[in-house]
Amino acid sequence: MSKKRILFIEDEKFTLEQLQIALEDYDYEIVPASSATEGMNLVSKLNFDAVLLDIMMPPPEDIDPEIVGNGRTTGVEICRRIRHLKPELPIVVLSVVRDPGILRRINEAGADEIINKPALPSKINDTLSRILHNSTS
Amino acid sequence: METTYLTTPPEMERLLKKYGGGTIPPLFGTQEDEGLLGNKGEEILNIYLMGFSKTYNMPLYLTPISETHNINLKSSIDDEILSYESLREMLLSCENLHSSTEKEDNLNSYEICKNCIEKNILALKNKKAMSYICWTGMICFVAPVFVSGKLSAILSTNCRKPKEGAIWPINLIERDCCLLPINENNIHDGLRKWNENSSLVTDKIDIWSESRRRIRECEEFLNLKPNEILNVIVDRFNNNEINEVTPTEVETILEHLTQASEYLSDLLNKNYRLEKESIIGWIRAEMGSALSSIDGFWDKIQWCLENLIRLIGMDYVLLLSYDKTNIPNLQLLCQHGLHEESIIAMQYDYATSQLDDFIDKIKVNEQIQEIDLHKYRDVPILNILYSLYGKGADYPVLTVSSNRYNGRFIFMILGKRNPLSKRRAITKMSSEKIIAQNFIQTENWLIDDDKEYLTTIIREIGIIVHVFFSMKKIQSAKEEQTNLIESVAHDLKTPINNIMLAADNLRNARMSPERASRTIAGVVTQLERLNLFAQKAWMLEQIRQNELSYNDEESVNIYKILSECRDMISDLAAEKSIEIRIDPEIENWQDVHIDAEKFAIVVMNLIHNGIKYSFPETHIEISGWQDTINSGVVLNFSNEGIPINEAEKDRIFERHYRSKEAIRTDPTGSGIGLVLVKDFVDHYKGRIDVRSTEIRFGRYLNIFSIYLPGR
Repeated sequence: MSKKRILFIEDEKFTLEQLQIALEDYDYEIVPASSATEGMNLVSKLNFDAVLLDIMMPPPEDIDPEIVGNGRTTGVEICRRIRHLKPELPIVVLSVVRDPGILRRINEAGADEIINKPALPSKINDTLSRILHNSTS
Repeated sequence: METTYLTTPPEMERLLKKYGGGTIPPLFGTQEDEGLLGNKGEEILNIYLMGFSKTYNMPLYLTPISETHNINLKSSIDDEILSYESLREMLLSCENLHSSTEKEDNLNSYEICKNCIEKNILALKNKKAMSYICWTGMICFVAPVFVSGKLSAILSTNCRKPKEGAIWPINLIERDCCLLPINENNIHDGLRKWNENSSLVTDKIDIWSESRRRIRECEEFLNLKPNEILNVIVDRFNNNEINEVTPTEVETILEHLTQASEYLSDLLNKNYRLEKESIIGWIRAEMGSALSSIDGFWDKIQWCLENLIRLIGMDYVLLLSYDKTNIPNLQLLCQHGLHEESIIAMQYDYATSQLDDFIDKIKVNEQIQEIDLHKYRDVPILNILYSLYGKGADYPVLTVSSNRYNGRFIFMILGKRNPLSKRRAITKMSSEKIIAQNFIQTENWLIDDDKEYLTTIIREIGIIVHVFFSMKKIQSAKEEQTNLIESVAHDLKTPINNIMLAADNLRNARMSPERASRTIAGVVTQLERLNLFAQKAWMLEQIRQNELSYNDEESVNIYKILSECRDMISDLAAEKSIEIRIDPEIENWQDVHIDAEKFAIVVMNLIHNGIKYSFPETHIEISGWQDTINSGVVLNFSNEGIPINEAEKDRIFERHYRSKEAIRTDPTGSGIGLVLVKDFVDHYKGRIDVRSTEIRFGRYLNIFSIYLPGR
């Protein structure tokens, strides 16, 4: 069975690197994107089995920072755009945010799962396995 | 005919609320007994359905009898508007109006349906509802609306295009006192005229598409699906084989029409009395609900303004905010009644020296007063108003202050069109020049009682606006707090998350020794991030509680601390390939007496900021000089990255402030680092300067210079 290909959008380079190492050990193919813009480009060009998405990121040039809470909810907008582009693609959001209003917006934007940071790779793997299983069954 | 259209429930409600306050039912609803036209009034709807072609529906107009209602006598005369009341007075003063062919021709040349005008006047004279058949063959009715015994409005239908071939019985026409005999030829003649000149009664508006638009507005207002009402009307019509009324039906219709119009007059007179106090109650209730939704606030304010100008017969109103906290600034908050093109030019903030004088004048006399705009031509926002009505305007503007809030001064400008130009319009259009001029000279458009009342209403709106600003301020403070908590959470959780990931990988993942070594170095960096954050948080808390104490007796080697800080943060810098360089000359400096621990936090913050906001593969330079006599020092921290805007140079030292550019580069960060730097510099009676110079396109050299005087 071929490896599941996961797009991981995260601006924090150390997190990106470490989670990539860990998830590759779980036999995923991780495609890293270190900015929202890079992530959107990859989503539009390549096919993925799922997306792992950070919430707090610098907003891309075409998004007014004030609209995305000065970058605190950039991921919400990106999630919405990905969902618009690929309605079926599973999206898992990684978030340090606990604000119920923002969590609701993440759900409304089309996220399949929200994982609170800090989170160990095993938990992320469990979530990915579950939604990938659901999406293929 | 230019009319104040009040066909739709929102429009109807708006006017009725103006007269009575409280909740007014919609024009008609989805349930049988729902809506203003339910029960007996439903007959009006039935008349619509029975009497007319299925393609179209009938517009219903409620026309306030005041100067706010205008009839455009001749569309070819630009912007020269004659009020309905002026027209009525003028028509009533004309002898032989009803018989003179000359007058008929004259009226026809104004492109107004003569019969409709006559019937309106007749209804007004007799103070009762009337139904009639328009000369174009359509059933119309008109109902005067009296409020507190004063004629306030006319409820009327408008002419409708008859279906081809419609024949109307002569006896019916005679009974209805219609002077023009309507027969088949007449109808065809009417149709021909209609086709030739679409502005016959519609004043260049396609009344049918306008009606459809209003039905849509009704549907939106009632939260119905598109075409739901229209489909009901069409369906009901389709189920009825009779597509055109028979003479017998016309009789019945006219009976119903009279009954319905009387009912409506009665309803309006009895239930919705004009009570000025209730308007304030209504405004408060409306605005109270608007405050819960900040987005809709200004729409509601505009709604109030709209009602206000109708009530007092003004032509336009502007709500302006004057802010003298920094530079005198006049901002248009909301407006109603001005031409769209004028408003576009007003959508800006203006700062001008003329404003102070203008505002002072308003402050002295807080009652309504007339202001000669000529004196304030240099104030752009007012100059536009001035130019709208030309030089020598008799009633340029009225201003009234509403309230003050945190240095912000909110007031209104209410305007009337220039009566001189109105007089010119009447002179052009009417052969009865003297009558028209006399009428204008004696017009009393705002009596003293109304002035006082108006001031109260405007103050009310002003207070509401202030409440809005207060709420917005509280909300923004709350948001700021939430944002700070989120940023702090991020600052804490991100390094913890990274350490957890790295530790897990070191234990479980397959990785080369080189990669493991890099991961361990990364963990150290993450720990340093945590440490820096903990130090900042601790120092900020001490500042907040006024308990931060400095150990001023320590003898500090600046170079040593700079080097230690550089080493601690070098891994973080390496991630972006940024090199931190320290001028070796600093090593020769004398020791200075400052708090070493706090100084290290300051240095770490400045370097850390430098890394965050620098472009990759650049370097951070730390240089400076020392006064050898008193050991005072200047330290420059320079980096190459995004600019620091001039306007933000002072603000970046405010607690939790983060510049837009900084947010775009890195949304995390709690905006407290530079607060600590500033506190440190202030403690030593020093200074901090920020410079930002473009060195290449889009690349800036930012220099933070700290001056610490010696002792």
